[in-house]
Amino acid sequence: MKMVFRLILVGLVIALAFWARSVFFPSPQAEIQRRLLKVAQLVSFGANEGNIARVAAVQQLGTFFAESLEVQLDDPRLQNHTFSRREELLQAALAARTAIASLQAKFLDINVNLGPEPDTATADLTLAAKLSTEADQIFQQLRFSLRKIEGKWVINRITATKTLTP
Amino acid sequence: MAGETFRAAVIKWLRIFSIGRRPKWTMIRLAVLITLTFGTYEFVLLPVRVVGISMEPTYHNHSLNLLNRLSYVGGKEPRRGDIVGIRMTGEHAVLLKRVVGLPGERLAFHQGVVWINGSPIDEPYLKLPHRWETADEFVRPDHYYFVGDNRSMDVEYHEHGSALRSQIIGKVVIAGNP
Repeated sequence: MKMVFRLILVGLVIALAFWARSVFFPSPQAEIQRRLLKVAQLVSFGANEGNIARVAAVQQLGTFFAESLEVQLDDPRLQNHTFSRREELLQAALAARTAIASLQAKFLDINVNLGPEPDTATADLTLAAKLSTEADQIFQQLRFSLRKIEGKWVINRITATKTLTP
Repeated sequence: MAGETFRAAVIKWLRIFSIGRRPKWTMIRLAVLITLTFGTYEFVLLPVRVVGISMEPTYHNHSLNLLNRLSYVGGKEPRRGDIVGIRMTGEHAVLLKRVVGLPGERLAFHQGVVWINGSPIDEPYLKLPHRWETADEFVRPDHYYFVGDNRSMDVEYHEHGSALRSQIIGKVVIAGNP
């Protein structure tokens, strides 16, 4: 009985060690996933969002993007959007928060691949967005390119990709 | 005295009703049921709710369907006409489409009807007006060509095209309409 108790205790300690390692020293993939989930959270907003909260969320969103970036959402359902600077994207985000009553965005099935060059990565994911102006959710496959700058993974490219290719 | 007897009878009845006459067997049955349900939905069936109108009128918006992940195991390959779930970046969002083109075939749409290697195929499921016109495309090896049944939509709003065989999750086995 004593042996069983010891084995359980050793198992618990090992599990705790793994958990602590993943929290304090996350892998690049886990770190990127965490940051992308935070982006989805910051992109989302409710109908009762105040002006200060709106500006704060957009400013915080800016910290997840590189200054020079490329956003190409050339999908007819998302309308065509092309941005080449962070400021443009943030202005569009702020304008969208004023024009639309609410948006709930979720990033599903995030697959992170580290790039051949050091400190580069791509993440393929499915965006599920619910806009107050649309009756149904919109699903869109997106590819994020990221680069590690000053110890933080920042997004430098977003493109809409298609599941089915012509 | 009578009140106490009645109370004891009610408690006994509640116990039997909730955990049965033999609690040990009830627990075993419950464990088996949970395992079977978990196993079925983890490894065999995938519930899918339709969002959008690209499969109208066969599948309506918001209808709930079940995909069988085991449809194409053991050497079975997708067949023309099968309605399948196609993985996007995972299984939380999938495309529900009909297989119309097989690997190596030449495919085009004329008046909304699929032509394979220069001949139209029989598509009895096309109930809505359809007028798509597209140029010939070749389905690459190990790829299948998918399209929805609603070709009354503008062609650019209707996602269609080819995907790898490995992206197919399974075939629709139980279809429910709202």
